[in-house]
Amino acid sequence: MKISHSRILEDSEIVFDKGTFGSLALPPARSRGHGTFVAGRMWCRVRCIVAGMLLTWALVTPGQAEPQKAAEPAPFTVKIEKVASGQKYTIGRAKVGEKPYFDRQYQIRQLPPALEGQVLVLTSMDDDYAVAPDQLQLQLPETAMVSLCLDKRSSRAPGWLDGWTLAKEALEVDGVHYHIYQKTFPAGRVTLGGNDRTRTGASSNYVVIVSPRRDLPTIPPDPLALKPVDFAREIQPLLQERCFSCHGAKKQEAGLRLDLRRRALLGGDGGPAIVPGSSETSELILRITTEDETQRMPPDDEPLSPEEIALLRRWINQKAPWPDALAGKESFDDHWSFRGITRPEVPKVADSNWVRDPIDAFVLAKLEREKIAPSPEADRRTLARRLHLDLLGLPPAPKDVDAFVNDQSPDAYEQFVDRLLASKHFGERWAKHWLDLATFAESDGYENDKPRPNAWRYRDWVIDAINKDLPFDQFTIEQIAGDLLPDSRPDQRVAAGLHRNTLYNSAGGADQEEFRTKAVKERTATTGVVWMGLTLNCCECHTHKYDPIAHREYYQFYAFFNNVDDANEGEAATFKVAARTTRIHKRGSFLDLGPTVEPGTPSFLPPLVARGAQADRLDLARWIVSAENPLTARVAANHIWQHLFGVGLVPTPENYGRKGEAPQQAELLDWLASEFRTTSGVAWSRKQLIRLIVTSATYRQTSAIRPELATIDPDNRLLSRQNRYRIEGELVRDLSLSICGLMDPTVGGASVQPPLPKGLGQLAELKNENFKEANGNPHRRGLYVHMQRTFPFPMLAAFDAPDGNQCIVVRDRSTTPMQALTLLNEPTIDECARVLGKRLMSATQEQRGRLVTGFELCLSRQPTDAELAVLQGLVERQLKSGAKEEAVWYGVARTLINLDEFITRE
Amino acid sequence: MNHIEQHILQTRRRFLTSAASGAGVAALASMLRDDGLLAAESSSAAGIIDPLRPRPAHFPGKAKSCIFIFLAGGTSHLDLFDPKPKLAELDGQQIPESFTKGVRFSFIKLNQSLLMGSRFKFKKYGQCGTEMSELLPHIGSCADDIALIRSMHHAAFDHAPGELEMITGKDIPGRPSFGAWLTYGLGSESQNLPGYVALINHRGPVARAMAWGNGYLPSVHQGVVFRNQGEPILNLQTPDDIPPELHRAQLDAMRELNRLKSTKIHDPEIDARIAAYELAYRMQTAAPELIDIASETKPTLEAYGVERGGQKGIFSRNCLLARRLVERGVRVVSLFQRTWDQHKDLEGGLRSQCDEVDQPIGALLKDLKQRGLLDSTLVVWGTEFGRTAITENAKPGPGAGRDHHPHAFSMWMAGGGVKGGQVYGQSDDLGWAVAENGVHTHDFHATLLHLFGFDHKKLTYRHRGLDVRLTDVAGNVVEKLLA
Repeated sequence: MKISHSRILEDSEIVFDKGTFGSLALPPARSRGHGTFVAGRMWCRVRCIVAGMLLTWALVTPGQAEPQKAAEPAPFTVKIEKVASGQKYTIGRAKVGEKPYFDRQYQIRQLPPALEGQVLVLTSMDDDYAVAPDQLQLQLPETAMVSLCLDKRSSRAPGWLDGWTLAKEALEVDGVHYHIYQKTFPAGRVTLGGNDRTRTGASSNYVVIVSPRRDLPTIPPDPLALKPVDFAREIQPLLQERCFSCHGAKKQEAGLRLDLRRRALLGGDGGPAIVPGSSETSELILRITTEDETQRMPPDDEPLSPEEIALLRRWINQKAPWPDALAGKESFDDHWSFRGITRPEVPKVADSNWVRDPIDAFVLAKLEREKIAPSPEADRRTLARRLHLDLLGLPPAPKDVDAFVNDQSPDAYEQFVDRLLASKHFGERWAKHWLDLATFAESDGYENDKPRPNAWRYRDWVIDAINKDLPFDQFTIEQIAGDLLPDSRPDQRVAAGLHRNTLYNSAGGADQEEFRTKAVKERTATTGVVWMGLTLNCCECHTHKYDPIAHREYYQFYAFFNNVDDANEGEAATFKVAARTTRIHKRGSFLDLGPTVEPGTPSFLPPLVARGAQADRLDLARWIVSAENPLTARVAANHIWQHLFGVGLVPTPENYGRKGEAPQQAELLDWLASEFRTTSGVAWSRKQLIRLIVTSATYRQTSAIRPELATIDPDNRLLSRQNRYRIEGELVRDLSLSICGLMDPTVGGASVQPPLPKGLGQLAELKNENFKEANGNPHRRGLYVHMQRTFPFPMLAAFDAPDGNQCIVVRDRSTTPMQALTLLNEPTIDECARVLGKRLMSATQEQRGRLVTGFELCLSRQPTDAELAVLQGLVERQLKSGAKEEAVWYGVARTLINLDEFITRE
Repeated sequence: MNHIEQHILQTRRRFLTSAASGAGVAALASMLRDDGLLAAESSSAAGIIDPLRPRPAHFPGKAKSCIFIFLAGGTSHLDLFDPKPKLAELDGQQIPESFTKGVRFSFIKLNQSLLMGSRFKFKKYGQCGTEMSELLPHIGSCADDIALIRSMHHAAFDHAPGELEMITGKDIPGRPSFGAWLTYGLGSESQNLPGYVALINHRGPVARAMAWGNGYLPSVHQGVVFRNQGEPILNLQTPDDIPPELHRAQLDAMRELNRLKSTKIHDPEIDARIAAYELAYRMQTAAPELIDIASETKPTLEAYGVERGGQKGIFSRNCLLARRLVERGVRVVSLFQRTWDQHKDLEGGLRSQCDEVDQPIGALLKDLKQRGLLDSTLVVWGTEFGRTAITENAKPGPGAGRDHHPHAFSMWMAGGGVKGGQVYGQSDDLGWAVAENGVHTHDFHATLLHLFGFDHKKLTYRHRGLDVRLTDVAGNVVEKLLA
């Protein structure tokens, strides 16, 4: 922003800049102030007269308080028309010793003589956070100068002061100095905007002084002001020519789009661009008239002509009429995930023998087009381990593998799958996937990070819901709004514990409102990404840059969660539903509140039907799983696919928006989504969908990498094989405990705190008072290890387990030396290696038999001759260095647990 | 790092599989076997196996390593770095409401709190004459290398959010620490130590693991905590009953079995796993060697004050270890010490804390300079915020303390391309708000990245479909801080 400097009442011709007088065709923005300009003759004349008069006056009556006129001056009054904040401002006189704020005792201590005795508008100090673009409206009876006095410590003058003149003198209020910005207005309404509250230190509201300018020729009212502007003929073509290239259908710089009425009136990231009725504070006008070339629109182009500017001002002053017929229609059909889901035809393929279910037909059709053969079916041992890891997160017992290998029945595979789907461990495995999304943890986070001793009840609800195959729509409704269901059961209220997974800062001195709003934002973002793959968090501070979600719409979505107050952390959620209105947080700041919004969903998605006058969370939950919602079923089906192939069909499962990657297998995803929510068997059945996928030929392929396809399909998007990838941290633990027989298979219950590595308990620097080694069997599954947000269990953290601080859609799969150290030396893993060594020794007396048993336990297969030779070599080498038998087999076990294959799902 | 490179890193599988059709995996695997030293190799294949390989920044930066000394709790700018005669004049008076209007406090009740001038004298140090507290003579003696910033500011006024703001650029959990960004951008020069190390004495930062966390960056960029007692790195030590030759025999068998698998199924992930095991093995030797400071000369140990014992001795040792780590090519060393939250007894607290940190930090700066390492090592005095000009609910005097104050506070930088001997920015007469040349956290981070050769707007990572960065959507490099 650029503000010119002057002495008060000198150089005052500046006040005419920016075409304040509408259609008077005053000079264009770039020519204001002291600069040169080319404009109508009238302007030149006015300027000369004014300058002359001022000079004269300044010479004749230096330091005089008020400009004097020969004629008897009529009393000058100012009327307060509107105060947007609702406060009652009053009128007084500017004098040393007077109060500038009606609600404070501060006094004016110093005042430029020229302002002495002028009309003072007593504002409210409490309005220092008032930011409305039409905060204060005054009615001037005649041409007058407004002096707006702004606390010098405020970091920024609000944008609407652009073009006002900064006086050299200052106002002093009780030791605090104020800048004085001035501008002269003709008779009529003057609108003053609010404060800019992106400050860094202290702040105050502004002080207003108004003085008549009888020294200036009266400016006649604009004869055109009341003549209706024709939007279609005058405004739209202008916007189209000068604005649409950056703020139109193709591009929306700063989130502003001017070709659609809804978006234009919604504004951009910085707030509203058009304030109907107030051109003075409309950002659109400020930006086309500013003299600061780095700020002026259109950039790198000729400024708008004075006539064009005047026209836009008039249009806005007439409340920006925009006929319905020209409102424009937004279309979102250009983006795949925003289109409704239609069930695609199952394609025809040449090699129908390979096809076991429609999934295979979709996959094979694409492979055939690329002339690629699918990979062969993996052997039964590999499949047994793959299914066990994918469905239960546990390794198969060697005897179960053998039985499966020898099962000759035609549906041996399906039977094997069904047994796993019925296992109580299935719910544990799939609950963990969900808990990653739900940002589950068992402590508050932040400084105090207090444990949440009842959080496990929500975790157990998830396990149980998945084990009993609670349909996904119900699963959704109970978690988002279980507490609002009519006659809700305790378990449904536990489900709503989802909302409790947010972080909480209990530090002494923390601003509770700040952290409450952060928790609401977390719920908003999590709901958006978990169910719909929307990056709502991008709109916290501004309108989405890529997707059709406005800043305002983010806060409408936020409003659904804004009344969730955690009453107490008991067995079931009892939320205090607070009556709280939601206001937009400007630039995401909870201290800088904008207009009020009602709960609502983004308007590019199908409309939400509310049960009552105002939509609530239950309406939202039902809307999320409604048949019309194009996102939910796709997102959920893709999550399931992701955990059976290592990557989703959508490569960016956390973003289904325009910046995400579209799936190469879009028809397959749509078929799965439609299958998931509507047909065959139970609607929204997670188990049915998983069964469908794992029984496909596509799933059963080998995972060996095919170098010949490296350039054609490096990421295996065509699914010409299975994928091979490292297992999650929890599974590393579960596998280690299982193969040696130490694992406690109990399902559910309070979490455990297993022993920490030697010395860690004494580490005073890591505040782990909350993580004392607890009673209870330390050999529970990784899922049951207590999740302390600021102290992630080191063994799990080494393998990229989430710390519960943010929603995780895709886990990292890093390969690090810390993982090597963990598998080599971590106390629990080491204990497993020792026990496994003993187990091998007790299995048989024969060396080869022990080695084979070790391989079968750890890798569910038999060693090749070469592998056997390596292990035999190890046994010999250890014996040769004098190791005792027990040490030798501990060494073998340690080696097996540290193999890449042990922690890999193939 | 550009997108292409990031994409390559994220999908090692893709690259190596395509490499496999050419010279590819076999050659790579053999190279791995031959020397086991991946980090030194500049070939891109090795770089993908080793995501910490050294790589160039956007432009040649002067800083190669960073030692970030984080004095957690909130160091009082008014008593250490930013003299305020006006505040001393007003000692015991109430602060005008116009200052406090709309300002949030942690614990202060305004009617019980009064303006308090510093109880300590300020002295002019060095040729430049920068004024700092009499409590910091050693640091003061390095004033000509120090760029003191008196206009730091942000909006987070509590410890955890403040630490996160300063370390990750955002006051809520989930973002990568600046150290993770540096190893992500530059890799590490060390072939047998982690690229990013955290050292702690007293209590660690309240943000704990997030203070050296990788956020959404790959976890290989997470800082590794070196411990003050027992094994220096968690799980570093082979169980006592496994003699070295058995340990090596087992590692050899693991490598051989992994190799057999790799040959069969062509998965480069296995080669990455082999490389990780070799680095772990080297760390088992290098980390104990690093913490063994017996090889240092007596004058060095004395200069740092290692012999002082207790927490003071640990802080001294950590400063010395920081130099040893930097010497060995470690990219980022974060030193944490949380004792500065003086809500009460500011006078006593500052005396004892400055006594603990002043000598070793001064020694570190001189030691680095003498060894020619200061030019390439950025040293930072960091903290989450400053402290209020008013007491916290007490009369000024012994026993009184100050509350949290993020609206204006001081930090300093030295070495690594920083223009020393200057003061940048000003706070107002009460040290309350920024008066001139404010440096927001984002500006600070932008400048830090610039010193390492990065355009902060271009060092990005694709997360949830967005190109995210340390400086969020803001930040300007403070040119005047650059040499």
